[in-house]
Amino acid sequence: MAYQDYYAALGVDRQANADQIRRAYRKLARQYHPDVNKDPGAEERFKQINEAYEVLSDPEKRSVYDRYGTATPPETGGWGEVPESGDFSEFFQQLFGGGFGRGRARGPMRGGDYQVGLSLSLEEAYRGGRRNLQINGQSVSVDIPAGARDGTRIRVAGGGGSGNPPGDLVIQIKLAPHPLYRLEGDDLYLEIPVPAPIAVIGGKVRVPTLDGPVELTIPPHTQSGRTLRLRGQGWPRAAGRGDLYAAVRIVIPEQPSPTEEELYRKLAQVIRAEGVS
Amino acid sequence: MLIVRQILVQSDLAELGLSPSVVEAYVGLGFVEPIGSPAGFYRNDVLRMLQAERIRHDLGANLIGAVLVVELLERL
Repeated sequence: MAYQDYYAALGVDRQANADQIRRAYRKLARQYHPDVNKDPGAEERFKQINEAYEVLSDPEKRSVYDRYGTATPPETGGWGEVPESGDFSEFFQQLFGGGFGRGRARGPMRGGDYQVGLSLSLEEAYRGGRRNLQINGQSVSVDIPAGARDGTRIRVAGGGGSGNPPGDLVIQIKLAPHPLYRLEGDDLYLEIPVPAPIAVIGGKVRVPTLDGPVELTIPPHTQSGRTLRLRGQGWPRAAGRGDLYAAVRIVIPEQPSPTEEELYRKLAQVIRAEGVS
Repeated sequence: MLIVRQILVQSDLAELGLSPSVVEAYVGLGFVEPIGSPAGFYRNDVLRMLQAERIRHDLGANLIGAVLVVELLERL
């Protein structure tokens, strides 16, 4: 992901205190809120301002950002993708150099923790459910919580290296990029193609959601780029769910039928007669 | 009149009817920037606070609403 200068986005210097950051945010939010600012680009700017504030207003996220230039800390070494079958001894030896002596304490030696990454599609993470993984030749059953997120860790007690007590197996979820949806916080974003006539006079289109397609009403006079919200169709969170934002992309027929061609021709004549173009 | 000066301090603001708590609220919203220590305000920012106060009292807007109105008027 490209480096984003959150300090520049809020127009504050890197030493700014929490009060200064909050003030700068409130001021810019008023200035660029899409309801009060109709300039092209205002909405984008408003999003950047919010993103910057979300990071800089949280001391923890801010300190991570100051150190790494991103709000998500880099993964500590040793995460790998785990296929769902096969022999993993080699894999783990690569990770841990063959020794599982971490967490050594007085008395009996505790087994090392196994840490693996598991890549899931958005649909899989959304539904959750039981997965069987082959770890070191053994089958391990893991319950993926519904609504797991990028970075969610699942600990299987005793699923790690042998010892007394045995170590744990720690699985870190990675969400694979999705061809349709983009997940940001609790909200999903997607683009929906809307035929030009429907955008002008309004109508219904089908929108895919994680629970299957739904019908969405496109209001009359919808411009390309307009975002429509489907409340509660986003990602599960502590209370309820986030929203799904559908950005309208107006499309014209790739291969118009003779009738369509004729109707568009008439439309073009009207536009020309009115001197719009 | 006080308002002809370029920088006004708290006692000036009080005379104009801007109480410390109101001024603090405007600062907290990022509407005006205090300068120096003890804090003073540029004449222009004082005029903006007075305008917001009029909108608040005369039209019944709340603080943030008044701030928004002033800023929008400035952009027109």
